[in-house]
Amino acid sequence: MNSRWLNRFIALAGIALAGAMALNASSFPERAAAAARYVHFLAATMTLFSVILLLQSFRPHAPSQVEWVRARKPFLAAVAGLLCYVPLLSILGFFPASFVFMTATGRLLGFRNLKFLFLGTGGTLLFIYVVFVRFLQVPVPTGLIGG
Amino acid sequence: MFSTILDASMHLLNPLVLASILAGTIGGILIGAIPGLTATMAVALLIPVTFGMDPIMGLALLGGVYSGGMYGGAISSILLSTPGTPAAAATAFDGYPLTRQGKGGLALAVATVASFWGGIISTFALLLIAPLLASVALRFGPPEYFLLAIMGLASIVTLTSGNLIKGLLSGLLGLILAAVGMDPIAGYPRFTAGIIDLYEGIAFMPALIGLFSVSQILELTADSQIVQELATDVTKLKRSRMPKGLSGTISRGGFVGTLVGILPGAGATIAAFISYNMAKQVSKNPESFGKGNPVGVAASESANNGCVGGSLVPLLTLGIPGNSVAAALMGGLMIQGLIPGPELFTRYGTVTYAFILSLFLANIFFLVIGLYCAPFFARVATVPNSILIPGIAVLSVIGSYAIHNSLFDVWLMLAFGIGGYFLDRAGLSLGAIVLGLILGPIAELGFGQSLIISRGSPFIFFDRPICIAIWILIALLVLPALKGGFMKRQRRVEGEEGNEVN
Repeated sequence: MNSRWLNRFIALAGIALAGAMALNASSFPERAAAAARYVHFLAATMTLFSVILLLQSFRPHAPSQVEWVRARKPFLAAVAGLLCYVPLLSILGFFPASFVFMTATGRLLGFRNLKFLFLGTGGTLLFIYVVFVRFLQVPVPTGLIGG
Repeated sequence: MFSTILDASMHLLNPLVLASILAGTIGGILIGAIPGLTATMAVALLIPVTFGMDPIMGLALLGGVYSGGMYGGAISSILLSTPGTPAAAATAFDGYPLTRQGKGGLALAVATVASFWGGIISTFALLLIAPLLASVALRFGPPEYFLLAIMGLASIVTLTSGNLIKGLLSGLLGLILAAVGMDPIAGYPRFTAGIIDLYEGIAFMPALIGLFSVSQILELTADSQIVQELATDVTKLKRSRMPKGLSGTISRGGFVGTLVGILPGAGATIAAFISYNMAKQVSKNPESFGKGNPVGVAASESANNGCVGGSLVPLLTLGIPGNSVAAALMGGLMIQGLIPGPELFTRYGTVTYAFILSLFLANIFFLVIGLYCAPFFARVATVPNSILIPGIAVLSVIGSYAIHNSLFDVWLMLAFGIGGYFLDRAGLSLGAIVLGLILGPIAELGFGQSLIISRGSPFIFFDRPICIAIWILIALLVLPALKGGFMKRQRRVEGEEGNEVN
């Protein structure tokens, strides 16, 4: 996708969002009149800027290509790791889930020294336990098995 | 007054009080440097600890956490483009590019010195002119607050390095996201899709961590390290000179931070953005901002630390906290039986002035710690990304979970992170979205209350003296940027026409 088509897409999405907001605000009850007024103000401003962006996209200039992902494999590995990590937190609990996530993602991202990876992960989690959990009493997810 | 100050300064010579300030400052720096863990959280967590302590020692500890936490946010902002605190968001604009150029140590030194002077200026203001400054803040009503939010948003025009309209759309997107949940006047829930977790609005910290931290680690996946090798200036930091010409920027930032800090609700983040914007406006080389200009780091850091003293002015004199950390600190005062008001400066003068003077010491402590430890902090940038990415992700999870003990917030952080990455790639400004999120509640409350007062007439935003002054400031912020953008476009069109002729 080039920048010209991207800007058109953003402008149209902005107009659609503004329209949906204005429509939704019209159904606000009488007591929420101030809230409706503010939403209409936001929707009107959004429409104005989106229309300007749309008009800008028709100006003659050479569009550039949009690069969504610079390195696909490590990007997908990181996203997949994060998407698996959060459900794992609610099952295993913070520390076991974090150990699995940190070692697996580190490995997938290309860290080869397994000994250092395990020791580093263990050290980081120990630091988090001592400073955050014991000293500052910051809560962490416990999970189904209470980890 | 001077005898009370002298008496208070004697209390600070107590080694236990000095140790409390040092411990608070170090703890504050560490907490501030970790994305998602804010000085507010640290102060709130420490209040029960100070209950059994001597009032001066307890308050000095909390003051150290506040000052250190405000400075600590700059460390991760500069080294990882992940602001440790929201107030350090503007620091990343130039701090992180400096790190990528191998000048992370220099950026940290500039941030340390600027934070120190910002803190000193604001503490002097707190000490000497607190009651006078507080009376100015009392004259701000809803229309002034709405325009203050608009002024903050106006700074987007200079924060945006690419398409100006996309920058403004980003700010609006932030305002729209801030409108999710119950409206602040009638409590009517909007745009929640029936999700109960969204009734109180989008939690700010998960959104901030997602936009600045997770989107950044996804960006980092393309490189093996943030920088392959740090420049020699990091290891030879003590011998390297600070860039010249920063004193004006730092002084201005300190005063901006103090003034904005005094206004309840405005806060250090807005101060940092306004100061950054002003520095860019007066610069002879504005296009270098956002690409690693130390002036940008100095402007935002002096302003956010300038807010520390400023936010305590209305707290100590009127019992109105200037921001969330000051609100938490109010709990620290109350737990010691100290009720904010004139009595704090008379009956409890020794404790109050000792607390204020302890902020000077906290600033000196973080100056020494910051300058001495900067080379070690800067080495974080050479850690392989395959280690750094999972580590930051884990800290981001802790930060977003800890506020409400909610896994929903962790999912929210992830959604903002992945969404933010693609918005950034699409040319939208994540900084502007965050600014919109911060200013949204202030803007909406000010807008709604103003129109209720005026019975729907928008002229209320134009017929009050402070409103007119703010409009003039907005014009001063926006017009030069628009003029600059217009001239740049003209030059590009002329260039294209020239190419066609050739």
